[in-house]
Amino acid sequence: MTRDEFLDRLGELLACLPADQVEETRQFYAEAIADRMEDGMSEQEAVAAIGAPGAVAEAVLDDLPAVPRAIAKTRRRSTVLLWVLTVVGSLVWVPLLLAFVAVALSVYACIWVLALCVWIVAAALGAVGVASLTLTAAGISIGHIPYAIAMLGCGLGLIGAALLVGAGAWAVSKQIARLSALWARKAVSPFWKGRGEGNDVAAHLAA
Amino acid sequence: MTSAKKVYLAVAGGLVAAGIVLAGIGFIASGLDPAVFNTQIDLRDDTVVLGGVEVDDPTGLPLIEQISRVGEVDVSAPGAPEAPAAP
Repeated sequence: MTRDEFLDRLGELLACLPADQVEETRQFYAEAIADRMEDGMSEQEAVAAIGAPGAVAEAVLDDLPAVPRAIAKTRRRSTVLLWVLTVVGSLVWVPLLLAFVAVALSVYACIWVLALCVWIVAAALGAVGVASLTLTAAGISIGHIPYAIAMLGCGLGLIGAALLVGAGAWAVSKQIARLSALWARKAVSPFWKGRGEGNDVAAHLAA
Repeated sequence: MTSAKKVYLAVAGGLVAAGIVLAGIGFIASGLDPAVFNTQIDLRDDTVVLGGVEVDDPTGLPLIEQISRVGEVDVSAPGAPEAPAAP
């Protein structure tokens, strides 16, 4: 089988995917064949080393996230079947999708409420510290020096505590930003896969 | 840890330490009276008590004068309506 025959057959088998994705896959395998030919293989040997077009197409489809994979495999059987399932099944998948979005957003909000709580504690400590410093002036005004000193101490101590809690809140916010990014990736993983994530096609080629 | 972060933490820790020391000095200077840490502003009868000492005229005291201008703030739940009279 020549390279063009292999790529044409692969394109036919992947016709259930969007055109740009098919073209991207064809280019990927064209480069893989070219690399093998540069290493000294003949065209037929390089194509044979890649594998049968059917196996390659299955690997490409298996590499898709769950939802696009199910859509592609259904579309490969019949486009009409896909539309029928989409319309008839909308009574099920639309509420499920809305519930999934609601849960994902709720978890995201809960994660950030944790950080917000720490910032609120820091702000409250700082506000009470400033109020204590103001009461120091009131203590001086009425001539109650022990009260003024005690309030000065409370004010400085609370402002210092606010700075320490603020540093902790900053560290917590950074960790939560990482956690929320991880959660966002998990939440969209059934629908979308990042380029840097695990790639079965590359594993198939390596094998 | 960067030097800026070290300075930040040192300043914060220093403020806390200084605050504890000053609060202790104030407590000792008051004769170990815990009331020295109390601040009571009662807008219902316009009494202001700072560190256990009642202030007769809070006019001119920072913060307290501003709070006293707010007036009484009722945060209690509204009372239940009167029950209708039996026929």
